[in-house]
Amino acid sequence: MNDKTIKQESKRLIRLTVNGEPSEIFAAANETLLSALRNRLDLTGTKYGCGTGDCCACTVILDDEAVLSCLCLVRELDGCSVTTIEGLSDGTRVNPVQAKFAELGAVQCGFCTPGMIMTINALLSENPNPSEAEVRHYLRGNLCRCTGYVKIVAAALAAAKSMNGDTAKC
Amino acid sequence: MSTRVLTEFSLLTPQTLDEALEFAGKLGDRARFLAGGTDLLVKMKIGAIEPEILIGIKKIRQLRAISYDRESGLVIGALTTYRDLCQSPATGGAYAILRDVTDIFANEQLLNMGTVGGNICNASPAGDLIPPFLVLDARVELLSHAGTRSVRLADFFVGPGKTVLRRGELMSRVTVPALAADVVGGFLRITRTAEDLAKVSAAAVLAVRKGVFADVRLALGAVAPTAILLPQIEAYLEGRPADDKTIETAANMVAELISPITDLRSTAKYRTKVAGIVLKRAINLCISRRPKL
Repeated sequence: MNDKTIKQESKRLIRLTVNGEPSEIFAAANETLLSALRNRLDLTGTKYGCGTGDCCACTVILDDEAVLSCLCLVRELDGCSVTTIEGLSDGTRVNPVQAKFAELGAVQCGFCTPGMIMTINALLSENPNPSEAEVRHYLRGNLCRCTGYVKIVAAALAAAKSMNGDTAKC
Repeated sequence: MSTRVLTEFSLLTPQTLDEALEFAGKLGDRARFLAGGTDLLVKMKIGAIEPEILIGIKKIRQLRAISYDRESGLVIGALTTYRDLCQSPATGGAYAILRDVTDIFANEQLLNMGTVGGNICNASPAGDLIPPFLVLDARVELLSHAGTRSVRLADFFVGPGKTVLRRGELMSRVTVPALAADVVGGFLRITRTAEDLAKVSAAAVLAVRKGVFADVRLALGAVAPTAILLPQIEAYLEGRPADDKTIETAANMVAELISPITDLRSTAKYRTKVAGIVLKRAINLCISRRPKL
């Protein structure tokens, strides 16, 4: 392997499915998923908090798992599927977790909210009926610097309840 | 240094193990393997390291697997995530010590991203998986284009961030021998907040047979340049009655055996004071988990 071979690898076309839509990014090696979402795809709902995996504001769902987009390199994600906060709503109806955040006032400055909502959605798909302790444990990495988490946890529990209610009706 | 931008580097994404080893063999010190990225990319963002080339190995699926049988024991591929570790049926029973690590892990997102091989090769004295694997007498398999070697984990670490990995070598898996049916394990740590690294951590596996300790293995993290086993204390406990007095004496032996430092997470004095207590708690955690007769 010579330097030319390495250089040729320096940019590459990466195909992702983002919020159900196919997306092509000509990505450099050092491009994070967070940066691609915000700066190339204009999906600015996903927030840049710390950049080092400590705050979880940049949480997205990657192939059914919650991950930190600030620590994912786009170049390693060819063929993957990503869901961001923008992908939770169909444009007319919001996701049940979003609905409960609005209803119960679980938002203050709003910066942590997309990460919170993505993480709670990941929790509810694993465990549709979590206890309050389970919600708090699952959200332990998602930092909110405005509130005391009380309304956020309440919104998660209320969303679980409303989603279980919907399932029962089907 | 901004954590917003990663400085430039080249990224290779081999599709097979052979290809990865070939890249690594040819590039030597110029390249580093990238697994989950939760340590390496953070170090790059804060400017602690500036690798020229990364070899991303996520696509090498065969490195992500867990299996268990009596003969080979527990075999864990290097790219196994913490989430895989806590969800696999193979990590039940005596291997619950590994789930102690995932239970207190920083956050759910990093559980999905961080890998077993990454945590071990990162070689932090505070790496949470290291004391449990030390007491489980794990071995690691190291591959290179030149061949394969197997190293006891106890011989793997040289210092903070330093291991016996040679140029071009890749850790492919961790193996843990099968344990006797009555052996139990436990891990715990002290941190300021959930997302912090450990100030001090302790792991223990042991059995209690006819009221006395047997098959004892003990390890501490974040109290020396590498995580350490405590053979002197293991020898003391072996064959002695499993009571509070024995455990207290064992815990009091710790301070003499460690060489903690003062850093941003704790002081040497505090670590010296609590290391014995954390070890005592790990021993008691094991005792509380003994199979009911």
